[in-house]
Amino acid sequence: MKRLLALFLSFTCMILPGCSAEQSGAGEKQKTLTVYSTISSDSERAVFRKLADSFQKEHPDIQVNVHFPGNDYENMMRVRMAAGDMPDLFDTHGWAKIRYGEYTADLSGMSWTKRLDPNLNSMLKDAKGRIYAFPLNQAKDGLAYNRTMLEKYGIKPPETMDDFMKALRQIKEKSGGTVIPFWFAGYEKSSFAQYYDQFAAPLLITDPAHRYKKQLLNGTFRWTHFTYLSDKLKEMQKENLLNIDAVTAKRSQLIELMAQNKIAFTLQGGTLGQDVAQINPKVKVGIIPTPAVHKGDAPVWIGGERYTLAAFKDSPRLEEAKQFIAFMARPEHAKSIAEATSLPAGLVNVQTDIFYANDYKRYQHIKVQPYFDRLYLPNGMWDVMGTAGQELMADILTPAEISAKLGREYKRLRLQSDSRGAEKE
Amino acid sequence: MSDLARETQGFQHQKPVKSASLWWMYVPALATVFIFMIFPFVKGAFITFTNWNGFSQTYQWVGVTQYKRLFTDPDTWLVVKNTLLYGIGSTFFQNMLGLLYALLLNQSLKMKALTRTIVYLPVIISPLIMGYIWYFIFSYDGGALNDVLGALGIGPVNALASPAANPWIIVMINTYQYAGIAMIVYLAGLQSIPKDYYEAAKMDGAGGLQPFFTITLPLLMPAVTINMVINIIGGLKLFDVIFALTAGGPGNSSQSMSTFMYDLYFKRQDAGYAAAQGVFMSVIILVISFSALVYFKRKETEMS
Repeated sequence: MKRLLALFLSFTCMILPGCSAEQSGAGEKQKTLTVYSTISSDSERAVFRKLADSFQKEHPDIQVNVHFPGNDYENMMRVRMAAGDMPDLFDTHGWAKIRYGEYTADLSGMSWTKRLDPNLNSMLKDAKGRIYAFPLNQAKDGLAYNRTMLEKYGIKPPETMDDFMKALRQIKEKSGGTVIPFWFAGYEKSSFAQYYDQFAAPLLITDPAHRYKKQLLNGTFRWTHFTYLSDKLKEMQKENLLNIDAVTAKRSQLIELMAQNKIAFTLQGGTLGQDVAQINPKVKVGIIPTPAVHKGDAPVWIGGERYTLAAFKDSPRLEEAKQFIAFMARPEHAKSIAEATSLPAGLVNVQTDIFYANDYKRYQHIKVQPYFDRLYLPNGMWDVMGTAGQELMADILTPAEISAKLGREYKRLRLQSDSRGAEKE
Repeated sequence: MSDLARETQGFQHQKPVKSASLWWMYVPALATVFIFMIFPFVKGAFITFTNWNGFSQTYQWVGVTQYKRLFTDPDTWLVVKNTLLYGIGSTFFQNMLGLLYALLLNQSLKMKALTRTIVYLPVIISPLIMGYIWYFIFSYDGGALNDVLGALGIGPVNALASPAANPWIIVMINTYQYAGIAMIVYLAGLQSIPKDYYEAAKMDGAGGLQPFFTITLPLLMPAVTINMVINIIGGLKLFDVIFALTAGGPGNSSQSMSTFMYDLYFKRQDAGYAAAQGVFMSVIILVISFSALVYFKRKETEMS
């Protein structure tokens, strides 16, 4: 009888996942820190691992286990949040306050916080001065373009939407239709979400005469103002300024097509430039801020947090986690990780030598706007915008219907996440 | 006393096993089913009455709001329609194709074994990989289909961009992948039918398709039942191929209930609604597969 019971118990222990493998093993003295990050490319990961190794050398009593689950990261974290079982350190990739907020430890006492780039304040800090995460770098997204090609055709990088449309038409004409003026990887819905999100700032936020911040935040925004973006996208599609497979192309095709001089513009920052240069050094990729929509307005960078480290508030190794963050915040380490990811650092005193350095320098007077959906839309709208973009491209919905649909979902999601709405106002 | 006798005697001396202690044997199986199926299902049903976002420690009770949404959301009916197409459409085509292959390959042909293997091969490929393979065949830029069309002088097509065609393409791929299973089950059924029946029928003057409808089909009914039910359930919960091929797009046009549920939970942070869709899906699968089972069982008895 007892034997049966023991058998059953050992069996259940076998099938129950997560029998605390992370905590055990290393013995009493050594502590193990578990780090999860969304860092995606191999070269970036290598730099992060190297830094983790040197941290271990400095702190022989702490072992750092770094995990990069790639595409599974977000789903994995959602499940772990629901279970209240987060890693000691994790990446908030743009969602420090809104999604991960209730699980992060307040880092405001730490010394690096004095050097936090003010551009990131709205993303990482709240009104009470609580700091949610440490930025390993910061996003400055715009339009990536084939500079070599634009120079060849004598086209100046556009600063307004009208210039942008003109540039797309010229590229189509001058290349005899062999170049895709504006390329989308629409198999991933996020591709269209990115378009709406990036152009929403110049359309609805930056121009004083067309500013809807208040309405967006208090729920009275009329979504007919948004139709412009769908109209423009449809116009581009009708004039064959987009790739024909805009709803089915995958992001993995981008580097190759760019290196083959088949793409002029696309919505992607990151390491695209280096990756293309590795395949075809003759193609120089540049980046420009998102063009202005309204007359007299300036273009704008879209940015905010990209890779971060947040500490789990209930972690039994919170002190060690903070030590790791402090280590990563040293200027030389912050510099190396930012350079590996080709993005500016999140701290003010860190000068980085990155691929797009010249572009960022040329447009250094340009303001950085936070990602539109993270600040003005309720949680969950990103996917709605992405689906809407596909529906527009596949002629399932018209631009006006898209706006109506976005409006409905905006209302519903606001009701669902009213706690967050209060925090933003 | 022989060994056997001694053993038998020993056996008789043992007390009869109490049935209560045997019940412990159920425990591992019951625990597994309870922990991994019943508990999540009950918990899921419970989430349908909340507006939980899927990751927060807090949520609100919203009563039957999620079910009201379910029945008024136009996407629900689109997705149900697709799911039924994936379930019933694939079942129909898989069985037709599987039966034809089985009938063909049950005869004495050259290369019979090789052909059977080839028909069965797609089954062993993971459905996710199958989706990716077909994506590369259909993809606009550098896809195999467009290379063939190009060689024939026909312009390239973007096959996966049509909201109307995508569900059918998925049915086709699902059929291609699993017709092999139907074939194997039918082959097994066919081989259990004694040859004498056909000889007797021939002597009685049966010709054309008559032996098929009077002998083969009735005796094959148990195989039909198994195939139908397995394929319907498999089709109704189709996920991997859709995920890899179209990701449910464009828009939601090729979404099945399971991919839609996945999107709602993981992408739209709408766990309450996703759970409601899940409950609805299990009801649909239960009703359809159960009626199919009853229907074909009745047919079996009728025909035999």
